[in-house]
Amino acid sequence: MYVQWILIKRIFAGHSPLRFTALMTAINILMAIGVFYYMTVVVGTSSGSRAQIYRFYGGVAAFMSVGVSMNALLTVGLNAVAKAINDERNQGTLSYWIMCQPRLLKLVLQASLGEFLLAGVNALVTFALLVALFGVHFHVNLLSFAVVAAVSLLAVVGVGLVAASLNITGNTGQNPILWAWGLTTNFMAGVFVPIEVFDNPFIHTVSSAVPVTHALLAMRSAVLRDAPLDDPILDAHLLYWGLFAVLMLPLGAWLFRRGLDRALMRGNLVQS
Amino acid sequence: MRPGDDDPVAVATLRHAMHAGEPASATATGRAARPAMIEAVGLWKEYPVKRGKPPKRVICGAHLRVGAGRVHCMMGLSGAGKSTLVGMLAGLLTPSRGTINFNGQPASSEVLRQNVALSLGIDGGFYGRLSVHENLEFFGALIGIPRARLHARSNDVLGLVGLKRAGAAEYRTLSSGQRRQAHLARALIVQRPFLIADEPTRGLDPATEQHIVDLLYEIKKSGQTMLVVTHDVHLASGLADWVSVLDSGVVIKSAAPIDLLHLLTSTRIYIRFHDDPTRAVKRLARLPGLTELHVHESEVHCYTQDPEHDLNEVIRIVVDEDLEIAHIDVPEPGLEEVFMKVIAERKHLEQERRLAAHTAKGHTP
Repeated sequence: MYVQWILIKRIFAGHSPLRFTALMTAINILMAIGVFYYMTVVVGTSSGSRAQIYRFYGGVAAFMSVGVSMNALLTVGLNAVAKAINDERNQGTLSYWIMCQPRLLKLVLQASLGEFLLAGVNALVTFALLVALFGVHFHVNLLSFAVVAAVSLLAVVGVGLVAASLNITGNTGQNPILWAWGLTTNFMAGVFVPIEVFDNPFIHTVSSAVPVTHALLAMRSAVLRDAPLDDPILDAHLLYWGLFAVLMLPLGAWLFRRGLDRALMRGNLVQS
Repeated sequence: MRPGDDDPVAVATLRHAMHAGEPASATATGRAARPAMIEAVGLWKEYPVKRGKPPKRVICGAHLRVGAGRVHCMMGLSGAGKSTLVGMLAGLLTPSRGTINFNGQPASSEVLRQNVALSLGIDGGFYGRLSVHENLEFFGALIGIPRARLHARSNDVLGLVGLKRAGAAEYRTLSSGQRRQAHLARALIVQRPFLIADEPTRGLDPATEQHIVDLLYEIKKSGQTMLVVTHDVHLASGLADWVSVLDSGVVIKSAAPIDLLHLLTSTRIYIRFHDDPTRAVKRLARLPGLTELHVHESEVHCYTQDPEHDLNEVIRIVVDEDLEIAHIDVPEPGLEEVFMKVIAERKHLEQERRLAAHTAKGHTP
């Protein structure tokens, strides 16, 4: 517990003063709400099949608020693993982590948990404000919500480890995994609009293949439609997202281990 | 034959090798007086540079042996490969070739990391905005010290290194010297069988330096096995049971300090010129009293068994040749002199080797 406490404390005691960090976070939340408002105005008057989908998930505001909050949570969460590695390497503490704790993977996950919790609070505040300002009504199935959240955590940890495996070997530039994740989720995962609006069959197929699309739809079913675990729509999306998590988690752990071996070979953990 | 074994036969061999002008890196070995806690056997570390180009060699077949309960000091010029060797011994760097044995068994990087406490002479490695206590307690908790004992243990080690008053201060507010002390405190809190202290006295004020030196002696008295990397020859000559000199990734000399001093069979006259000393060097080489002569750019090292007589001769030649001396010195015999001598010999050999290779290619020297 003490290790966890220090790992969380070190985030608050980071390079930026706490008040400045809090201010930036508040501005980010307000920006997200602004973008959200803009998008509801743009697509709020939609009709036809798109309108039907929005209605199915409780309306435009409800559809978007879950999409925005969940996507933010996933993105920050998966960045957290790579960020933990980067921060520790830059401070020179990573080599001491590895000397004091043979299970580095566990420690890295513990370290990213703090970031993930912060992202969770951030998403929750955004979510609460959206609900208050736009009058979103929820029909939550707690069990389904818990299962989707747990699967999401596993998937994010898996992808995060894949991304961190590049960071641990000394990559300080753009992380291609995080870049690809951001690109596909922002434009193709149906954060603001249902993927059915993409008339181009190629884009539609790609959007359907993006795992986050299914994560968002599963979460929307769980919190906006009160869908139980045997709901066929929820199940289809949850299965896809779950398979992705099952694939990514061991792959991430393996690549991270391999990245660590490469870092030991290249000397990325030695500070002089 | 491996350097690092505390064996008189090995020292004699080293001495012989030195007089014979051979590179001594692979000369000394023999039976071990004490069981080795850590032993590096033929370690190599190479880094790939670019495709099609040869890798950059940082460590080239280094041997090092530290007996249980012994203090081994490693010396070498900057860029000699000390940090790389330390990284490999601490399990933070995988050797390209060779093995590291721990207590007689080949050890993986993981085994080394679990048995080595590392104190680096650098500023990083701590959380700047957390207090020294919190930092130490964090690393203590990582190795599994129970929460109830963490603060007391942290207090103890801070007291040992003389940093108790700064325990509540944020790490970033510490001076460079205090940061060295904090590094040593962390190495002590983790309590491992093998302690590596990389330049523990670098950047310290004289009082703190003395405190740390005293502490190192205390640690030695407790029977802790240590590898101390240092440029401080006085520290090495007093503290070390064994001294190794590393140059260009090779352990070029390794012996007990007293035996290393015996290697000094001659006194060095050191001259640095303002001009090119080639003219004087040609005449100096013909002086019958000089046993060795090493030249590196504008620096000339003359070795003699009769310094009083030969110093006059050397000065006479320099004056004859109308050369301007920037600095001249006849250093007292000591470990520093041994260090300078072995480094100079090594450079001399390398120079000769390069020249030979150059000539073999058909170029005029």
